Amino acid sequence: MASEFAIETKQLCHTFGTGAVGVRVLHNVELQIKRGEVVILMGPSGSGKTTVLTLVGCLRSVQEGSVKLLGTELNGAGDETLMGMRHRIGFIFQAHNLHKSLTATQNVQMGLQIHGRQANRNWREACHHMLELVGLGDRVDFMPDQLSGGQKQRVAVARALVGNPEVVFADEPTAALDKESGHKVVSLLRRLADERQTTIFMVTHDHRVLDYADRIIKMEGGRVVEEESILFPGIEPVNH
Amino acid sequence: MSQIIGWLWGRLPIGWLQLMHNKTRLIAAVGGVTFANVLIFMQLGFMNALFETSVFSHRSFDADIVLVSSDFRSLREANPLPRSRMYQALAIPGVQSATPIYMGTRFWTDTATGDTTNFRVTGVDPNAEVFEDQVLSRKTRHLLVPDTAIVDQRTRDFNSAIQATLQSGGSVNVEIGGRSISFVSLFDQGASFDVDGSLIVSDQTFLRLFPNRRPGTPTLVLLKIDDPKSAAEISEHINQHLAQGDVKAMTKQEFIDAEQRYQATQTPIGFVFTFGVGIGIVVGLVIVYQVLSTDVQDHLSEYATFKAIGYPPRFFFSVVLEEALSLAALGFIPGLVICLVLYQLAAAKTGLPITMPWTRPLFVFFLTAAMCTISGVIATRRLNAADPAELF
Repeated sequence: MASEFAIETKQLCHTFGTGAVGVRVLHNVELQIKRGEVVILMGPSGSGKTTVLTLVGCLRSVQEGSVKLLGTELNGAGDETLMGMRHRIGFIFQAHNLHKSLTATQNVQMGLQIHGRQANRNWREACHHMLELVGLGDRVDFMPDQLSGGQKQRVAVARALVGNPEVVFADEPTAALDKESGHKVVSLLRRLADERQTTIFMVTHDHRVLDYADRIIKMEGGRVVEEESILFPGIEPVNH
Repeated sequence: MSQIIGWLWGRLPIGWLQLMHNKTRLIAAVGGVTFANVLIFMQLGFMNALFETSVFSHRSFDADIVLVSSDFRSLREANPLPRSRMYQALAIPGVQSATPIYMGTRFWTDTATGDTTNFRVTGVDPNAEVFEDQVLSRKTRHLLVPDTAIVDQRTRDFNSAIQATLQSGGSVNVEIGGRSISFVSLFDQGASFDVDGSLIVSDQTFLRLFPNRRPGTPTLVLLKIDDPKSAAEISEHINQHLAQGDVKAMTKQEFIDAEQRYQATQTPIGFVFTFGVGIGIVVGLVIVYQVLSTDVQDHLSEYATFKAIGYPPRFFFSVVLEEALSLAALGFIPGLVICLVLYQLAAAKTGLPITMPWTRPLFVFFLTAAMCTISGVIATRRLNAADPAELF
C-alpha cells in the first residue's frame, strides 16, 4: 500500500559543481507532505526552494539523502522510473512554456496524451472541461499568440491538471496572473486537494494566495527554517 | 492533413504543426529540398542520356552476336578487325549470317550556316538487312548509288532547309571529307555526347570517305544465329574457336553493357554526373539539417516542458523525423514538377533523349527521404540540451 506521505525527504543534500568549486545548496532538508495537503514553500532567492522542487519533481537526480515520491525512492532511480513517475505528477512553471504551434486544446492534449490511448478516448471533452475549469471555455481553439499572458498561464495550468496528477508542483504559478485569475487558479488547486486528495506543492512569494495553503515551509540558505500551519493557528511554528 | 497524420501517428502531429506554424522557415526548407531534388534529377537525367545515347548505334543493329577487335572498349575508339574472322565465325554451327560494318567519324561544315557537325559514319552493305528498324533497313537500298548518305534528322542543330528538302523527296549535295556526298533520305536516331548525329552510307562510299581504311577491315561484324536464345553459348563457342586472340565475340547485350560500363567507369563524364548527384544530396542534407536544428533550438523550452511531463526521448526523435519526412515529401513534389519541365527544355536544347523513367522519381524520393532522415538524426542530438531542470 502507498505510504501515508506523498512527499518525504530525509537528510536531503545537494551540491552544484564538484570538488573545490562545488557549492552545497541544500543541507539536510527534511520534508513530510501528506496526500491531499497544500503546501507552500517560501524563501528568498538562492534559498534552495527551486532545487527542492526539481529534486522531488523528478527533474534532477538525487545525490545525497532520500526522496520518496508517492512511496517510490528517487535516489538512484533510473531514467525509466523517473519518466514513469513524471506521468503521475503535474508541473506548473513560472513561464507558461506553451507550444506556439498548438492551439489551447492541443497544448492541453499534450498533457493527456502521455497517458496512452485509453486516457485519450474522450480527449476533446476532457481538454475542454479542463479549459472551462480555468475559465477559458470560450478560447479552446485559440493559438497561444492570441491569448494574454494570464490566459496562457491558465492553459499551462489546464495542461498540468488534465492528466489527474497525484501531486502538482507549481513554481510561482500566480506570478503572471492578475488578482482574480490568481485566485481562480489557486482555488482550483485547493479544490483538487479537497476533492481528489491531490497533493499541491507550490513555491510562491504571492501573499494573496497564502490563505489557501495548509502549511507554509520557509527556507533560507538551503535549510528549512520554519514551518507554519495555517489551518491550526493555535499550534506554534516548529523551529529547526 | 494534420488530422490524417495525427490518426496515423496516434498522437498530435507536432512536427507537422511546427513546420506549418513558421511559414518563412517552411518555405526556405522546402526550397532547399526542392533545389537538391532538381540537382539530383538533372544529373540523373543527363547521366542516363549519356548512357542511352552512347549505345544508340549498338541498339540499332539487328544482330545476336557482335564480333569486335579484342581490345574493344568503346565504339568511338574501336579498332578494325580482319574480315577473315567473319568467315571463320560463319563456319561455326548455328551461325546463320554475318555482315561487316564500318564505322568512323567525319566533320561536315555546312557552307550555308558555317556550323560544323561531327557525324558518326556507318558503312553498311546496301543489300543486307542491317538494322532492327525495318524501314531503315529497306532505305539502305538507296545507297547502292555511290556517294549517297542517309542522314539522321535529329542531328544537333540540323539545318531545317536540308531537312525540308529531304522530306519532300529531294536530295541535297554536301561536301564531307573532301568528297561530294548526296543526302538522299532521313532516319531517326539522335545526338549523343561524342557526336552530333549519324550518317549511314554504303561500304563503298565509306571507304572513299575514309581513304586510310582498307576493305576487309570492318569495325564490327554482326552475326545472326538460328536460335537467338543460344547467343551466349555460341558467342562462347566462337571465342574458343577464334583462338588467334585478335577478335572477341559478344552477345548484343554484352556489347551494349561493355559500352555503358566504359562510359561509366573510364570516362570522366560518368564520374562528373555521379559527383553531381552527391553534391545535390550534400546540399539538401545541409539545408535540412540547418532548418531542423534551428527548429529544435527554438523549441527547447517546449521540449523541456514535455520532458517534465514525462515524454520519452523517442517522442522527440519521432517529432524531428516527422518534420524531416514532411520536408522530404513537400520538397519532392515541386522538385519533380520543375524537373519534368526542365527535362523538356534540356532535351529540346541539346537533342539528347532526356526522359523520366517511372523508377527515377521513386529512387530520388527514397534518396530524399534518406537525406532528410540523416539530417533529422543529426539534428536530434541537440535535443539533449532540453533539460527540464533548466526551466525554472
